[in-house]
Amino acid sequence: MFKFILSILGLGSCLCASAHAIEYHPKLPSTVRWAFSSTVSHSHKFKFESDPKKLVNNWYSQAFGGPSATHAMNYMEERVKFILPYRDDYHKFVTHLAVWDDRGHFAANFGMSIWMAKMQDRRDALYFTAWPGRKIRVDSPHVGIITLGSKFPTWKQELDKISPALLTSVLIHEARHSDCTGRITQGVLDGREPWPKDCGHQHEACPPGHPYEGVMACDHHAWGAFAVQWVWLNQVSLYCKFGCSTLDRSQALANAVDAKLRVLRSNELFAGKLGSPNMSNSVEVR
Amino acid sequence: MNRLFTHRIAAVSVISVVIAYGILSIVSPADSLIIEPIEPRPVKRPRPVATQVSQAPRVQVRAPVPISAPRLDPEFREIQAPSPEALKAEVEQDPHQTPLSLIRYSEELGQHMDLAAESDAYAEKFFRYLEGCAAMDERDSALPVRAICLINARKLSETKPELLAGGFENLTNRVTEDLVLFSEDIDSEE
Repeated sequence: MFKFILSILGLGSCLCASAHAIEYHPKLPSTVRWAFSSTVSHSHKFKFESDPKKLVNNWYSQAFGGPSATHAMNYMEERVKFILPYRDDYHKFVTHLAVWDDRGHFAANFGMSIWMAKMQDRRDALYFTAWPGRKIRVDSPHVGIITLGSKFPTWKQELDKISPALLTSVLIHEARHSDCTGRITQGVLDGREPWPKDCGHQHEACPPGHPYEGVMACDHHAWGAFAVQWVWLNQVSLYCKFGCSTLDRSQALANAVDAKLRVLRSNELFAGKLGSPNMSNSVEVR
Repeated sequence: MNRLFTHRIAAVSVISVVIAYGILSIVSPADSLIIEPIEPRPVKRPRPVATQVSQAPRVQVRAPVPISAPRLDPEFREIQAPSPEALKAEVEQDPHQTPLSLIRYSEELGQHMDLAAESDAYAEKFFRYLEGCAAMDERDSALPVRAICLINARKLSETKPELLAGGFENLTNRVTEDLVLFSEDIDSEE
C-alpha cells in the first residue's frame, strides 16, 4: 500500500534505482549491504575516456564485451548473484575439496566450489539453502554464491575506506571464478585427471623468487581471476575521468600493480602473446 | 453535517501526516546508513582495517619494517611504504586480497599527486620523492611499491611535461629494467 502511494507520488523510481540483481543474505549487516549496493550503482556510472587509436589489444572491451563501465558490471552481475556473510562451517558443504578455508579472506566464490562438488558427486540436481526459505539450484558455475571472509569489514567507518572501484574489483575477481572456461572431461570426474585450472580459474602457489613465494596467490594460466581484475583496475586507474575520485584511482592503481604481480608471464600475456581472453563458460562434459 | 465535515477533515489530516512521515522516513539518508554491528559475537568481529595495516600481522614472518622516504626529500619523510616482508606477511594472511598497506600507501601518494597537479613547485619536490622511491634498491623496497612510484612519476611528468618530461626519461634510465617493463605494461594497453 505504501509503495503504491509512493508510486503515485512518483517516488517509486527512487526505490527501484538502487535495486540490482545481487541478493543479500538477511543476516548481512545493513552497512555491508549498503556498501555493495551503492558500489554497484556507483561503478555503473564511471565514465572512461581512452584514445582508441592507442589501444592495440583493448583488453577491456575484449574481456567485458564493450568499452563502458556497464559492460564490466554486466559481466560481474551475470556471475555474482548472492552475497553471504562469514560462517566458520562452510567447509562442511564442500567436503570433496581438500581445502576450504576462508577465515582470513575478504571474499570467496563458494558457488563454484559447490558446483564442483556436485559434478564430482555426479548428482543431477543439487540445492543449497543459502538461508531459511531461499533454496538455490546449483546447476551452473554461474550460480554466483559469494561468501565474505572473516576479514571483511562491517563497520561503516571501515567500509567507507574501500572505494567503489576497489570493491567492484573484488566482485569482478570473484565473478571470474564463476567461469568454467575449459570444459571438464570424464577423466576429471573419474578422478583420473586433475581439475582443469581454467575451470574456476583456481590460484596456485607463487613460484620461487616471486615476492609472494609459496603463497596460493598466483595465476599460472592465462586470463585468470587476477588478470581479469587487472583489466578493470587498469581501466579505472588510467582512463576513468568522470565519476571517479582520487581514492578510486589511487586504490585502483595499487590493486592493479598487485594483481599484475600475481599473473605469471604477465608481460607476455598483456602484450597479446598468450592469446585473447576467453570469457566463456561451459557445463558440458567431454 | 458539520460533525461529518469535521470528521472528514480530521481523517484527511491523519492520512496526510502518515504519508508525510512515510516519505520522510524513506528519503532520509539516515535510514540506509544505520551502523549495525555484524552479530553479537564480539570475539569474532573483524578488526578495523586500519589496525590490520598498522599492527604487526599474526603470521610473524618479520614485523613490518616501514621504509622511510628517500633522503632527498625530508618533507615527505612521513610517507611510509610497506616493506617486502610486511607485504608478504599480509598476503599470507589473505592470499586473495591486495595488501592494505599497499593500498594506503597508494592513497597517500594520490593525495600528493592532486597537490602536485596544482603547483609547479610542489610537483618538482614530489617528483624528487617519487624518483628516490622508484630507484630504491630492490632488496629494500618491494616491486609493487617501486612500480606505484614510477607510474605516478610518469603521470606527473605527463601532467607537467615542460617541467618533468626530461626528469622522467632520466629516471627510466636509472631504475631496473624489470621495473620499467612491469610498469610500462600496467600503464599502457598497447
